[in-house]
Amino acid sequence: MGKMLKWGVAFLTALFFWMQGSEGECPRSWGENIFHAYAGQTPAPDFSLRDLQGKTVSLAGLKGKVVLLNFWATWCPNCRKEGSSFNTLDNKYRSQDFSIYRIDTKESRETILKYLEKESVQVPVLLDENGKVGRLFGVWAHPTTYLIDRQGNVRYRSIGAVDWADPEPMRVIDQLLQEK
Amino acid sequence: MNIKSLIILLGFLSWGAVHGCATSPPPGNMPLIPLQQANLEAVIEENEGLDVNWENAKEVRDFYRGGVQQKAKAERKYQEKNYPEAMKLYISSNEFFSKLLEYLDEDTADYNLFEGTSILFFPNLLLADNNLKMGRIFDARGRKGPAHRYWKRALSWVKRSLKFERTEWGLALQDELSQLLTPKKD
Repeated sequence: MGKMLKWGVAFLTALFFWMQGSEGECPRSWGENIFHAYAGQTPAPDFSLRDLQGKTVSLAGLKGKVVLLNFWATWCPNCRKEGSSFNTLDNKYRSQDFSIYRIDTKESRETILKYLEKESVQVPVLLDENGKVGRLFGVWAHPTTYLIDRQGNVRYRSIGAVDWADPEPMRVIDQLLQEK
Repeated sequence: MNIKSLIILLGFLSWGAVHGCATSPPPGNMPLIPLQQANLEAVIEENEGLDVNWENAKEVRDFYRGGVQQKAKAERKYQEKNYPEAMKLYISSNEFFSKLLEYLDEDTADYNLFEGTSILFFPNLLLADNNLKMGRIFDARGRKGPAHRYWKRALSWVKRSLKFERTEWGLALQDELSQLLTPKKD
């Protein structure tokens, strides 16, 4: 009987921890931290946004370049986690046809500047103050990053924090830069 | 704590982990969401932009967005009376929503995406509207049987939607479908 009880406790303990990790009927958050490749041609919707210095940047104006758009916000822990790794990308690809923009969702310029005093991320920040651009891209979680090719097509998406200093994202960017 | 108590506690916690996010019953007096707030045009507008096709739909939200985008195209064809194309697009839209409903089945006027941002989320009601229009296409061709089958399906989707969120939009669709399904006196 004692042995059975021990097995029972072990089984229920395992079941408990397994269920804690499973999603049951909860809304599923599929594919965190994945790099999803887009099939076919998916043109990125055009937009114009101001950066922190007040300069307007439009996606159409970046045609011919590989563009990384990172949707983020200062309140998002995973955005803070990946933030500094953009500096590595920026340093590596600055001299090439590659642009990185971090698009902040629905926050004021002041909030972002205050945040950037603490964490030095050198890549330009665009202000999506009413969230319209995020909506155009279908952003539903932060951070979400899109890689756009020279033709203006969305080629990759990642949801969740990515270590941009890692070889894998660099391999993907290199591949896009090699395309005409 | 003795071992029997521990077993009972772990069993209870495991059950809770499985059922913690299950659908909760709707409150008795749900507020009525006005048509100005929740309507087809507003849903379509919220999902304009980057196209989602079936191959590129990976997340639950992609399937909703894809379903709405296909519906938006179907609506244009329906208005143009290009019924064969409209049918194809309604079917495609339904495929997206059906997949989505395997994971998220509650309609809501306030689906929270992230801090400070929510959207209209009405997969059941959009399925109902698709089926209503598919029924109308069959009816226009004089095919009453399939038309009624689509309308019956549509009515069940509307009822499901209204169970989660009481919308003027849903109530109007329910009235329209009830009238269509009422045998006419000659």
